[in-house]
Amino acid sequence: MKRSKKPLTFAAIAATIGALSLAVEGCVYGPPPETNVYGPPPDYTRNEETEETLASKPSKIHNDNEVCVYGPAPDPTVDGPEVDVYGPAPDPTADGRENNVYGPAPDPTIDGPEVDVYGPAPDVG
Amino acid sequence: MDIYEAKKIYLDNKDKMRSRLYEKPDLIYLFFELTRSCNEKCFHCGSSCAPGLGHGPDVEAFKAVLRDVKENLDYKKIQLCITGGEPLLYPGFADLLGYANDMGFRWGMTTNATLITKDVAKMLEDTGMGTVSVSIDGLRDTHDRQRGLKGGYDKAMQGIQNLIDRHVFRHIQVTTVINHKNIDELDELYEILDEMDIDSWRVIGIEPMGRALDYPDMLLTPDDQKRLFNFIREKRENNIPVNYGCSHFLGLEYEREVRDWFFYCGAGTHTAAIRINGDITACLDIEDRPEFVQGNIATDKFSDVWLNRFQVYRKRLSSLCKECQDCEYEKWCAGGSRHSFDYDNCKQRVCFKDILF
Repeated sequence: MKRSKKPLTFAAIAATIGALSLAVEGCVYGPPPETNVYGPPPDYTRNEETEETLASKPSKIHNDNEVCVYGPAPDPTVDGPEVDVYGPAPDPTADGRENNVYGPAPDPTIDGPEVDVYGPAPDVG
Repeated sequence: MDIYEAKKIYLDNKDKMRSRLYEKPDLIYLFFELTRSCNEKCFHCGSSCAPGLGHGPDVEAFKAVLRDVKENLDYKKIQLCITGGEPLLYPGFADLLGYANDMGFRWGMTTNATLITKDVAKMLEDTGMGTVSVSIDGLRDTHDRQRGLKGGYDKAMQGIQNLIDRHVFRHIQVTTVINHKNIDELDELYEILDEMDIDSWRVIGIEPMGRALDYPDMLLTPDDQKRLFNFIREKRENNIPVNYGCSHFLGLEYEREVRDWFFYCGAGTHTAAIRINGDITACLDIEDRPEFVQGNIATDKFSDVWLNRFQVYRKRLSSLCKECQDCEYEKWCAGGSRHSFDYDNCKQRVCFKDILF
């Protein structure tokens, strides 16, 4: 994992420049700019790019929208009914026991009871 | 002045900012829920996604939103956040995001990465993806069990490596949802992730919503919560970019120590979203109730809705909760995160008062 080039905790920043300075900064400039939230990480870098730069980087993808082109081809052996994702509406009755959705039927000697596969880890304690 | 006093000033300013944003919202994150289909079925999924649940609006409908946003809002400030389900299952993925890129939008994605082969990583580069967050929810067996896909861990790790190998994405993040059963794996998981050339690790607690409501014994105990926050803080003290998510007011001891900002729930003032049925709402994690749907892209212009509706999100959440109104921390918390609020019983499901502060 990369290492941050700046102190990451308020306490560490305060130790560097002083809590009073932090507070003054807080008063004058307001809180630091918000970063993310809960989706993908914020992308600051591209804010600095100019329109010209952006215009010079057209997407290499144009209407290349065929199903499965960008994902791997569905492997019925491994992925089972995932091919249905692109097809007809889901069958609600098929969603009930997901253990069998992916791959072969569970081997009870390996996987234990089916219920353990998708729920919490088995409580062996 | 000590650190706590300095933090109070920051938080006071944040509260003033909150009032300003209610009057003049500032869209920063626009979420597109491309699909509710997913090739995994995580027990903690906030939106209860699963295989075969269907996709969102067609590509042309999303493109129309992009044109509207570019024309009528400050689109350079906005980051598109692509999510699902597993967004790579959306049939028009590359077409849509290539179009967004050509229009100058920044975009990032939340994904399970199991479908990111080398070719898909190249496609993501070609369509201009800037940032990505990949879910890794524990060590191999735990990850696979919790996410319902055998082999999912290995596929996801390979997907991350395929992203890293492109050397073009501006931020590759791993996100881990911690629960009562996988919290013991934090240290070992850190050792694994630290060996990878990722930019950050977001570690969040399981939230009592969606499918997780069916597993109450997986929710974090107060001791778990403190352990989680201390883990994150200790890493950050060593300049290791571990972050807690956006949720919840954490009190003066932990606020701004476990993430790069002070708490503010931006749902409806910084954040908007298009659900798979075209509904326009705020944060996708907020309970899907009729009063939170502000329009639909099939009948409404997104920019009009953003600028002229959304009032339900532009008032203090604490106005719904008597307990919050009486709390001494209300001015900094304002009722907490909107996604974890119990709107039937008018109380916050997740409150760290008496746990962290």
